[in-house]
Amino acid sequence: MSAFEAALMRLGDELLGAVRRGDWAVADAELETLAQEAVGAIATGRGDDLAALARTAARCHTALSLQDDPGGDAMQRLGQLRMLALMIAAARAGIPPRPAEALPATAGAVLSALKGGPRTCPAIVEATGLSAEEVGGILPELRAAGLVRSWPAGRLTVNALESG
Amino acid sequence: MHPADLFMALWGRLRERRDEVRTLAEELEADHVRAGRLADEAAERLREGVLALEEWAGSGFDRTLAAAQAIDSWFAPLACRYRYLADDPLPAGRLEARRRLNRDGRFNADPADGQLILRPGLLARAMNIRETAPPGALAPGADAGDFDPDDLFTNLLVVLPSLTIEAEREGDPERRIAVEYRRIAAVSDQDPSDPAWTPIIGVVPLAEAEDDLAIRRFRRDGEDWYDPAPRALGRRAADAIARLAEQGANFVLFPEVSVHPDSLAAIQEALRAQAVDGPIRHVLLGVKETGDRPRNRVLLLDRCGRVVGEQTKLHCWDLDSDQCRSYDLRDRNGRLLDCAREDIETGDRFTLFELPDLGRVAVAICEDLGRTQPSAWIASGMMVDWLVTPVMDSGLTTQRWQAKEGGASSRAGYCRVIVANSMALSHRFNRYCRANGEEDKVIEECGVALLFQPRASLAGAPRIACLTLPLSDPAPGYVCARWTPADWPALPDPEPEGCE
Repeated sequence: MSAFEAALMRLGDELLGAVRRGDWAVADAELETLAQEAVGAIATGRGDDLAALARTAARCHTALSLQDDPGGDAMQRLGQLRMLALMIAAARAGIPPRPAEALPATAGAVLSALKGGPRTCPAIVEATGLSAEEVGGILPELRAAGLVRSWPAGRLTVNALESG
Repeated sequence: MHPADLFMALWGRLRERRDEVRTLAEELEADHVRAGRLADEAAERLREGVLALEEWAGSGFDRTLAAAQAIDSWFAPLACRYRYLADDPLPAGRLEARRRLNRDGRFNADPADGQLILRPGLLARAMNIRETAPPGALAPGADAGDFDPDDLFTNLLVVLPSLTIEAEREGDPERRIAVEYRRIAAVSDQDPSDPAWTPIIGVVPLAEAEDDLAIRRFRRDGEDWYDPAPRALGRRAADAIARLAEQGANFVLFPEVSVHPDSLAAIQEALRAQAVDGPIRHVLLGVKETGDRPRNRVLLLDRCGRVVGEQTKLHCWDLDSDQCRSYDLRDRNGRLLDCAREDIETGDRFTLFELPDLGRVAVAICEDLGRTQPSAWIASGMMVDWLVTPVMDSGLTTQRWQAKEGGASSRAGYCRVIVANSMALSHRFNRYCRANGEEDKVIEECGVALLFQPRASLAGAPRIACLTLPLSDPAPGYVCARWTPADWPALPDPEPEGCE
């Protein structure tokens, strides 16, 4: 467990303890810290920290949801935790494509192959010698990055350089 | 009008003219320039608005297809793991699409048309296998009848409200069942679309001894019937869950009819005990429910033990004389049965579950995996992340029917497949073998789980892991494995029919 995740664990324990004893000022302060850390991790794309934040939010939400007869105040914090967890999950569900200079060599090979003209994925596999899995894995990122455009041709998908 | 609703209208037109669509698709597959020109025109109209696209689409059949495919492409950012950096036409439409999916479980407005959903499951959003493996209908020598209009669309899939499946049992008429895509919204901490995710799968056979899953036989209407009756083994099930939580298991499965309803409370309590700090996110239970007629069901539980979904077996598994012999099924006079019918009330609904910590899951209980539908629809749709098959049979191996069917589903559907089995019938099978001098067939290491990783390309093969427990001493009472298919052997090629 990283130092960051250990710190989050302590935060979560404090949050749960505050809810149990009805100390809403402390509970809200811990929630605010959690939200600030989440936004920071989202804004800077810190994937590992986002995963740790997701675990903390889910852990606290689970613990609160298992309480028997939680009062209205606890339910309010449960809802806030749920919203926070949804935001973190949405951030993790889509990741930004890497900048061109950070893309792996497979991307370069695919882009080189497309300099010769539009090709389907199997044709790129044939042209590059890469595995189908490698080509299939990099094409979605190249499209999202705006480096490759694709269009359907019947049941096939044709790919071309965006500038071409 | 929303793009999703125009898509449904266009899709309906295309389905009505299937042969023309096939011819057109083949023309476009041979003429990428024409296809590109049509796609560009359709995308330009869509930028102007849905009404502009609708008007354009009505002036030619090739435009109808191009318009539907343009809408399909418009949904690509929702079906991709990567965020699109390019411009975002119709942002209000995108917002409405998300609202509809989250609220109604579909993009289209009218539920009578079915549910328009994203075709790729969560695992496929990082590496969509359809990129690398065009539909089988495109293979040389493929039958024209293999053409499926759904294969014209990469990002969208229509789940029709019902599906025709085979009869409950041989000789009866075909029937229609309801089909539903159910998105279960919950707080989650796992991203199943992460390609680096290697979940740990646990299987608890639960019925370890012959008496743990008794097979009751009786006569009714002049026929022999069988009725599996699991013992209430709540303590054993709860212990297994606790130990699997220590092992880091994320998804735990109990085989077909292995769980007595009275064991459910203990299982739920064990899940609650690990819910906050433990790793288990979902549990699948094969439950035998009694009532007017018995039901063979699967319950899906969340990390807190709450039931979030259920699936009832759709087809009966009627045993022939060979199977009755293999499982030593006799009547009250000790005579081996010639056939035995499964005494269950079958289900009339099939559900695709979208689970937050696991992805898209389909459950095919035992015989349901081997029948044409809904298995063929699941496979051809290539839209599930997991196909899960709880069975009640003698030990699993990589040669038996479950491996053939599971491998075929994994090949065609490009999905992960898990088969989970109990151990009780293996004792019966061994008794038959010993009584008939077939000692070489006696099961010592009982296969209780098969894990299949789909092939990555047409040239590849699925990979398979077979997890076993000693039949004579099945401690610790569970198996578990991390999903690391690179360490698993390739699934042998299918053997000719009749080699089971």
